[in-house]
Amino acid sequence: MIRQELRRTASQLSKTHPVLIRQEIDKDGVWDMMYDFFCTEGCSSFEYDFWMSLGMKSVALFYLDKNMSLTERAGKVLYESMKTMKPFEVEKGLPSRLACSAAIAGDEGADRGLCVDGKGQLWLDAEKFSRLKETFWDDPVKSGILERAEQDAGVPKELYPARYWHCGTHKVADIEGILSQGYDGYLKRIDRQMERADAAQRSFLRGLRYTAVAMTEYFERCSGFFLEEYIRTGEREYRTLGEIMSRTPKKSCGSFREAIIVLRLLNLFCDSEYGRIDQYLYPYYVQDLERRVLTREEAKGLLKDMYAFLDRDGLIWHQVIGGCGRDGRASYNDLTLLVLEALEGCAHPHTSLRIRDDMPEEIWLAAMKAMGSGSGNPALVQEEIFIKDLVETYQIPVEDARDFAFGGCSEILIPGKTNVDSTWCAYNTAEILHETIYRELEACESYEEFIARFKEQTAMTVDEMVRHVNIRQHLAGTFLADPVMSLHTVGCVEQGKGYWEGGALYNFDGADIFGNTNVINSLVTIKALFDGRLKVEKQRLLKALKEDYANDAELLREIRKLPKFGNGDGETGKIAEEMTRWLFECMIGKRIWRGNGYFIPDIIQWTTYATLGEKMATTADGRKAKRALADSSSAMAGTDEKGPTVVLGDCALLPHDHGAGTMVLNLSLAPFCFEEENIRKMPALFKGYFMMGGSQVQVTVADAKKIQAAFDHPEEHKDLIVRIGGFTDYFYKQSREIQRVVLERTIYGF
Amino acid sequence: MSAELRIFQIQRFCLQDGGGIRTTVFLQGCPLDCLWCHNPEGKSTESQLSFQRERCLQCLNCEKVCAYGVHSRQQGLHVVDFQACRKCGACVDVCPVKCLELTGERVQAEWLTGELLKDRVFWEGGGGVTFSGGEPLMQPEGVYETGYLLKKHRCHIAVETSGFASWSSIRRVMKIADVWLFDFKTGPSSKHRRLCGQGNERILENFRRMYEAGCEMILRYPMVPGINDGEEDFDVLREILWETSMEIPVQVMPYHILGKDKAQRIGKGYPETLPREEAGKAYVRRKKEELRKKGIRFII
Repeated sequence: MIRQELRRTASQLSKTHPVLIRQEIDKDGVWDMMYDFFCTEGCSSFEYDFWMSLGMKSVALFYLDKNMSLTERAGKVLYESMKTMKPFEVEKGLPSRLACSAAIAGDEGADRGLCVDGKGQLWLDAEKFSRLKETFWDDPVKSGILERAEQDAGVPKELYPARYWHCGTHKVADIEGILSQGYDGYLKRIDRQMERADAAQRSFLRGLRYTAVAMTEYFERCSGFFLEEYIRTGEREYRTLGEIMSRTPKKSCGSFREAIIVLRLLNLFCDSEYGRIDQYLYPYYVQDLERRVLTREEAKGLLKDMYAFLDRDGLIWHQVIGGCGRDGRASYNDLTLLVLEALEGCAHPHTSLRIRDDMPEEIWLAAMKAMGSGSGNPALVQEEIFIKDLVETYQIPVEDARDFAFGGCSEILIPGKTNVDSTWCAYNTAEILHETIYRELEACESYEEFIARFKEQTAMTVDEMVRHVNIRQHLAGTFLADPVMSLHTVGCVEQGKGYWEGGALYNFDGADIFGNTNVINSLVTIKALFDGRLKVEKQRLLKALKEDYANDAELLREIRKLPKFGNGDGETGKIAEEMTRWLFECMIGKRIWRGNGYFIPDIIQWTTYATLGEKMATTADGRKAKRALADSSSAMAGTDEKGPTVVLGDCALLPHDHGAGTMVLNLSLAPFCFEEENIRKMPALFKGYFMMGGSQVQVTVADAKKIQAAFDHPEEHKDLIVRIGGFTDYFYKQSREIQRVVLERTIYGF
Repeated sequence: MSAELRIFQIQRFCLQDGGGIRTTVFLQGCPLDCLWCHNPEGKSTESQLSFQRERCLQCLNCEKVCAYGVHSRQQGLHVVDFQACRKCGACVDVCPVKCLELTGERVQAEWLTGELLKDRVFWEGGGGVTFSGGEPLMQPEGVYETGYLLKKHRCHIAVETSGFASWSSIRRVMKIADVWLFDFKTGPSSKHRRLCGQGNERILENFRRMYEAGCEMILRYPMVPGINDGEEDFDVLREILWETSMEIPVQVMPYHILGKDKAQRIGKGYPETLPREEAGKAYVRRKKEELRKKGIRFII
């Protein structure tokens, strides 16, 4: 049935515009096609002919079938562009870099001032384009075509209202799908879906089809190129690569090395991160060991070579190891251990180890060793909390919830099935609080009254954030096609909708909360003001805030003496519990435009806690203007004085039952803790935290002298790796403000 | 009524006071006066005034409230007369930066138990509570009662002791102690008197009796280069192990200088005869080798 449909489509097409230039069925029953979308004379449109007469090929192709979906139109441009894409660069037998960005051969659009890329984005050079417009000033039809294209190019795909925004997103492609089915499997899936799709969906699916074929043709060309390089240079790695590329990823993967290569290609094409790397690679690993075509050391070497690219490119990417399988049973394996060994001394990739009660001791010890090597890896997460929250709060089916992983700085996702769009919104709760302080404090007669107003304003501003972010999503969903990500995300084919339109099976928006600890500590100050522990008038506090405490050193000292979050003070703990839960509950249940998914509150921070803080005025917790905000869900750097057990006790009060978005906790421990006589004692610290209900913890291991030395001379301490607001990176690469925060963090273990 | 204890610190997350992660409570008061003591604030049974000079703002708010002339300005700097202090605490309340402190407080056993149990979740894998100080055996009732209450929660209890105590005190605390961290300071009794204020006959006798009574013991040896690490010291150590058991672990505690700061804060001097530098890894390795040559094999 599939073949009849395609034959009909092909023959229909060939009557009107001969796009299909090759069509074969291979032994698996899959149509093998090659397209040429540039039509011959007599079958195109007036507009198409006009653009082609100017040599603006990508624009011509984009405007050829304006009635069709954005994804189909973008998919054609992508297809034609990839025809000329050079084979990727190779390092140590692995794909290293894409050689250049794809562009349609002979496209004069850049010279004329307008071209279109494979995402359907128009790139306008206003000056050049206006000269083009002048040429046709006396022809209203052609002028009209040019004006409409210019207007299209001006449509915003993004809006940047200042509040509630920072940037970026993280993704994990459908790695398991490609490994197990290859692009041939994808094409079968697309063709099956075509049968039951309506016209709009069929148009979308055609765009994905073109994308899949573009990629397989590209890989075939690469195969040919590498085999020629082998003949020319005699280097074995080209031969291996060439042979592999002739099979995968068009077809399913057959070995560990092939799987690594395919994973690397997905890194390059999709910016895909690693997901649950020890789970999907394991069958290939075991099979190759049994067949004696791979040793454990070789496997480790391949992983390390792949990780080295992240260091080179400065990418903050994530991988997850350990935890349960889709059946809920423990799924730790030798690859889990291997990854931990490969990570020793490596800051990248950022790695999270999923902890369960029955995690073997051997994995605990390997994790402690990796942590103690100074890499800041792995972070530890209590998986039960994440799974439960995903199922109960976000209605994720339990098998998929069990497959959870992270992107970037610990944004939650179900690999291959999610658009988490993790870092679109930043909710600076400290900024919201200080607006309330300035405008409401004087009128309030009690702390309770003040809190009621702050809660109200929190709820209002969260609603505003939801509106802002949803407009942005709607824009992106309407004007941004992403055929590559749509192809590689489960749900898009099935729903006939793009990645940015809500096609992914699961859609989230991680609402990243900043300044939460600063709010807790500031509310301690406000409470002390009302109950008389802080013996000052409100006006004096407000004045001091406006003046950055410059003329009131005494008040600053008194504020700094008040209890701070992380020191086990009962009242501070109650404030932390009540207010953080209130904020989370304002966000939970709020829907996003994309796929009718969910906002999901988190405390992740990245480096934004510093950039926000640098541009922020004084806060009532004793923080001076321009200083960084708290760098995680934990105590404000340097204010915790009672040791890690007390810090963990306070952090356990936060709403971890709603911690699926990830509530990052940064802890600094001295190398002493990981020396031979102590390392076996360390798991108890983390187990204790998880027993109290904690969800995530990540550790910087460095002694105070070293950090001070690195602060004084960063370039001389390039080996120092620290955890910064949700990820691991090199100390010397950070801004001075972040370096200062790390320095001020209390180091435990002496 | 709950027994009372005098303590000067509760330190959480200790990795070197017994197995696992431990919460250590430091009791105030010690019958000895060891030269190298790193908890000098724990020697006296009374509270001590502590002054962190480097944090002082030189505001002299303390001088205004002190009835005993403890605080004054000399040559432009805040100076403290520790001898004159009556431990009233008035200066502590007015210090804007908390650089003045009265070490030590009196607490009830019930309250102390509650405080210690806050760390309960971290004790898995061999952790628990350690009584240290000062000398815990100077307050046997308080230690016993706290230990008794902790035992209801199956808490593992270690007691660090100099061994200079009455047998009745030891017997009382034996009821709740799971392991003893027994200090070995130096070998010959005359040297022990010179360096620690008392001879060690009673200490060694208690050690023997405790061993015979079935106590689990670890010998803790704070090793100070050039002071208590000689042949004569190792010989006595070997002898006492020979008399009891060569299986008793010996834990070498390398000398460090943290005590110096603390001594200065409470107005005590720090002996010039003590080394200026901490004992390094090479020194510890060498000394452990010397102990092994003496036949002392179980060294941790």
